[in-house]
Amino acid sequence: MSFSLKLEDSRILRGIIETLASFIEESEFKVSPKEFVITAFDDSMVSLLKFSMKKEDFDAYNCSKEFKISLNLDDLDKILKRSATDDTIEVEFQEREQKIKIKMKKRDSKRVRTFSLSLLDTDKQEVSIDNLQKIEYFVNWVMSPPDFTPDLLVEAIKDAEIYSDILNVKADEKNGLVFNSTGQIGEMEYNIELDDLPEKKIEETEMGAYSITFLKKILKLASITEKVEIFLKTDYPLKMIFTLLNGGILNYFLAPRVEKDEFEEEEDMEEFDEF
Amino acid sequence: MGIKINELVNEVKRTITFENLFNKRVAIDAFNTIYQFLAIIRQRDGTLLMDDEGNVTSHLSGLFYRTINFLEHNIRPIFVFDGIPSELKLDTIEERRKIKEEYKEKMIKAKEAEDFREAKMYAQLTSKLDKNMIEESKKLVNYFGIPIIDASSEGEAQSAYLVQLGDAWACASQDYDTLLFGGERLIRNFAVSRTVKVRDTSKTLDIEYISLEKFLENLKITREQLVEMGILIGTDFFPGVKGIGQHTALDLIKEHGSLENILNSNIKVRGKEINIDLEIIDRIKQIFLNPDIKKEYPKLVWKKIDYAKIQELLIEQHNFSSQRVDNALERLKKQELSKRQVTLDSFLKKS
Repeated sequence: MSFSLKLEDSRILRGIIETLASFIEESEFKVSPKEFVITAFDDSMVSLLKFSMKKEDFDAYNCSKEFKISLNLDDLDKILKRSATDDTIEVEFQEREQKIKIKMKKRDSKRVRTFSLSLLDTDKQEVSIDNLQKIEYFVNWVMSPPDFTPDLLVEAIKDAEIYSDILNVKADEKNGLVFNSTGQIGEMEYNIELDDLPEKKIEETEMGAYSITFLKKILKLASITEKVEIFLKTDYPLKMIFTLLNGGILNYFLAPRVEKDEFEEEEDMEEFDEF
Repeated sequence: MGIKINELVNEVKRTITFENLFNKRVAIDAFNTIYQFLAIIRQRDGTLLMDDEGNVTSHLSGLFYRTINFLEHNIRPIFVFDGIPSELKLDTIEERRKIKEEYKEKMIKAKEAEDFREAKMYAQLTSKLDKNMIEESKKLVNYFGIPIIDASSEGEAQSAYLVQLGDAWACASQDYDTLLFGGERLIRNFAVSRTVKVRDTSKTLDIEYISLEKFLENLKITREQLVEMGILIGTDFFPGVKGIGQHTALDLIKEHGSLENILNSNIKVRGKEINIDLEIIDRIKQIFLNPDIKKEYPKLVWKKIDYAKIQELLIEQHNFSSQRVDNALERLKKQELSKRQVTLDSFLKKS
């Protein structure tokens, strides 16, 4: 049994793996007859990434049953970084060999470079993310070209970073969207009025504080993103859905930062997840 | 010290980072940690750090920076201090004391010969923890708002109990004895990954994570069998049998099932029949399997940091550089004022 995937543009795969590798060391890949899925929490369980790409979005896709393989992301990232943008990438897996093969080829060329990468043992338990996906949001907006590209968010974060490691986001019917950060030396504010938002649903006032470190990591994807839909809810995770350039969707959930309780926070000792 | 089973552990140990311990409670073997500071934190010639009055401060320096590191990474430490050692351990303690005396003489000779490298090496082996050091360490930990538990006997046994109860997520110690005490999750090298020089080559010290369950599963033995292996290999409570190391002990236990069967089979090692006093075996097994622990201890609370008290202890009483102490504390202050990062766990469970 085996599977093989082909992409004529290496950028998406390279970008996704680079981003994932900035969060975690290893991850499980699920390849099924219909789609290719990577679901991964970062080590601290502060955020979750779920990348999926349908069979149709690949240039070739052969897979007859579901496969789960685990790979070291740093190594995979290193290999993929060796590809040029216009390289065609093929990923092959034979079940009896405990490794994958990655082939890179210049378009219209016959020269092929082949890299192999050993699989890792999977002993991670699968965590259900259903409840996370079921959260209902009453505020969301879309960032898409030409006037409202995801880069705008990247800029807002760079502004905010001068003052703090937290970005505050607020949305309401009157002011639209407000990004702000405060620190000892001062504060910054970036206001986007309601009329200026091309696609939005703002039915409630919602606000949240989020780690800039995590936002920066995920927004590295901006360069290969067509549009981002952002969902905001007070005291809930920030949800971002990235639609990538050649198809492919990345869902990102980022847990909020909340006010400190006077003494000790409530704690759930059942949260003993194994690594 | 502790039992030597490093090679058997290799197959199941995992490298983790501080991020994996985010928001988690870790019971730290305080004596073990402070001893390490006394061994590592030294001047070039091996002399310990001292204040103007000649009091040793290496342990305080280590505790101060290490604790800040834990707190900065949102880890919740619990320091568990040893109580009264078991009688069986007294021999080991006496043995260590003698060895330290020897090293001390060697260190003095090396210093006289101006061989500072060797002097440092011997000096590191002479570390002694006195009452005053322990008291001051406790003070500092307390000022950081971190809970302290005084074990009735072995700190590792108490830590293991905390994990069994679910009051802590893991035990941190360099000693594998924690596994024998039933500590389900053991963390070693519990500090920021760092590079150390070992005989002119450098290697990275990563944080290691060992699950007792996986370890026993992998070797296909029970914890009782592991303790019996410990008796053969040697622990702090018994020197072990000469000629039996970790691999031989494992083979013997697996082949014969129990230490009793081994003794009954008249097995010879290096031409000598294995002979261990049955009463000793029983006592050691009791120490590990039915350890002397404090079942009742105060509720674990992480309090606000008392910055002024920390400054007073370190800067005023022990001549630490105020600039360095203040800078380090400033980082914590900033974090304390800031909002708390929550994890996704709670949202995964909410329906």
